[in-house]
Amino acid sequence: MKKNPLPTALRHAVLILALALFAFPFLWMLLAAFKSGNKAIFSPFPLLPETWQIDGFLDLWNSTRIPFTRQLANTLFIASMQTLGAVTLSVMMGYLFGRYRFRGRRALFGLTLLIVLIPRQVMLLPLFTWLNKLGLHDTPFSVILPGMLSGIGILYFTQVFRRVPQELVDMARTEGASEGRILWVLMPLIKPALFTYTLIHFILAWNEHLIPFIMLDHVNQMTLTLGLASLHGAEMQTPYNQIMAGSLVAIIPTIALFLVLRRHFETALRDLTHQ
Amino acid sequence: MHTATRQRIPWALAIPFLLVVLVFWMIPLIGSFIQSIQSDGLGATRWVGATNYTALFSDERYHHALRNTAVYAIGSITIILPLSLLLAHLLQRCSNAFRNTVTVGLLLPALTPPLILTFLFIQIFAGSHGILNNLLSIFGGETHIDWLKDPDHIMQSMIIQSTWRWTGFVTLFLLAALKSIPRMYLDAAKIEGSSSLNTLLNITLPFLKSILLFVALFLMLDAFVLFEGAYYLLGGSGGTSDAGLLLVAYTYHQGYGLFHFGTAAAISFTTAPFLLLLLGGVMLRWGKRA
Repeated sequence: MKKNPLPTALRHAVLILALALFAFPFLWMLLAAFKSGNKAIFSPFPLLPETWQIDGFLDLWNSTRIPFTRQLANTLFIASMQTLGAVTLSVMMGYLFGRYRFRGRRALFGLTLLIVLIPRQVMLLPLFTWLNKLGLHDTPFSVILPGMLSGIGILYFTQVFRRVPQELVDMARTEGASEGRILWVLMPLIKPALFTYTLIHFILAWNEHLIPFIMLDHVNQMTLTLGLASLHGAEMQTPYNQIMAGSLVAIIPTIALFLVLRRHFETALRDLTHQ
Repeated sequence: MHTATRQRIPWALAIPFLLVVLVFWMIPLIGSFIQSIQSDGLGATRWVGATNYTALFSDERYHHALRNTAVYAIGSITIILPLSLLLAHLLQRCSNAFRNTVTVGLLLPALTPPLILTFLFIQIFAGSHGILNNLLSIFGGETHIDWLKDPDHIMQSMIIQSTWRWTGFVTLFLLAALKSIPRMYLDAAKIEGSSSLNTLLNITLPFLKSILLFVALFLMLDAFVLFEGAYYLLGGSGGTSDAGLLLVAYTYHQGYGLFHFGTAAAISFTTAPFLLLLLGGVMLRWGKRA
């Protein structure tokens, strides 16, 4: 590789161009958050704010139109609980499918495939009506509970548990561990997969829009993106710098989580491709 | 005795799952079916059998939505997969620090809430003075395209947005997959004098098959559940001549806009067989292995 420097330079040039193209809107958003009022959106140029301001952040924090911190907390609660539920269910089912032969396994697996094929977003209205009947309208649980069901998650953990060496399971069994206990013993072994799926589900739950949009009406119950969207196009002027500031705050947790878990993410992806 | 306990354990593990499935999937699904064979409207409903379904056969907008969703999914996949593979290939041979910086940068779009992306993309595509047009003019391209109004370009805009959102995410997957190809295969190919294209076709792609399938499945599902990325981009509609109307947006419009609950449910219900058809191959492979 060191022998021909030209392709190396070319390679870097292409990648830097790609980086510029893909990161540009993000950079725009980042800088717009520090611009004043409406200058923020209509053009990204001049790229740098004339004067750096944090009004967008301050106004959003003290906004009378949306309770920003409350919505931030709502989003955190919804995304964490939904992820916790989805990971738990997916691990349990993945363990079941990956390590057991039992009667009814085929039917259960078929059901899982159907769940992948018919996601909750396509049965919007009946779900809405039914969740209302359950009294979940305008509560975080209307978003958390349906989101706990992840067909893809179950398929993923099925693959993960299939790769766990049988000797380990047998060893635990001879030592008299119960079947539930064995699952617990295997946990450290599947740590990279566990973290990876947590990361992906959390990002998707954190950014979920449609279900919160139909289920959560009151500003105090809304998630962050719903709140920011409600600032957009209302009768008053849209405070774009606030929207950009809010978006910036909104993506910090997902970036942080990614950076913390990235090592496991890479291991898990490598495992997934090793057949 | 032992075998008996072990037989019981799996079902015990399945109980929480089955409960959640029953309450948050099965019941809405049945509700969806019942709604789909009832008449539209808010007042008293009556049974109409398959009328809502047969009406869809002649519903122009439904055809649009169906075709658009398929075009969007297939278009996104055909652009994102090769692009990501190229980027992953280039990244693979870079220094660690450079690679890490670029991957995080590429990943930012996937981490940003889609709705926020949409606000930015409205400006990127806006009228004759949008950022994309300005960019194209630098390279001497056509600059008077009204990306979000011209029905010939609406779908392109949506696919550009999708490419922008998912390419980095997919690149990350492919990068990890590329790393897992044992070096000896690649070295052997080099010694044998295999061309890069040959190496790609005979070694790299077969190795990546399952991850590529997974990614295609993911993008396919995303197209079928995409709502805000399309709906708000086009100003809360399907765009000029419904050129950007996707299935979920149409369901939403029928249900919440027109209160045609029966029709909306029927649309939802017809989505499943299409997904089944489209993803059948992928699923079959997975089903066999699992």
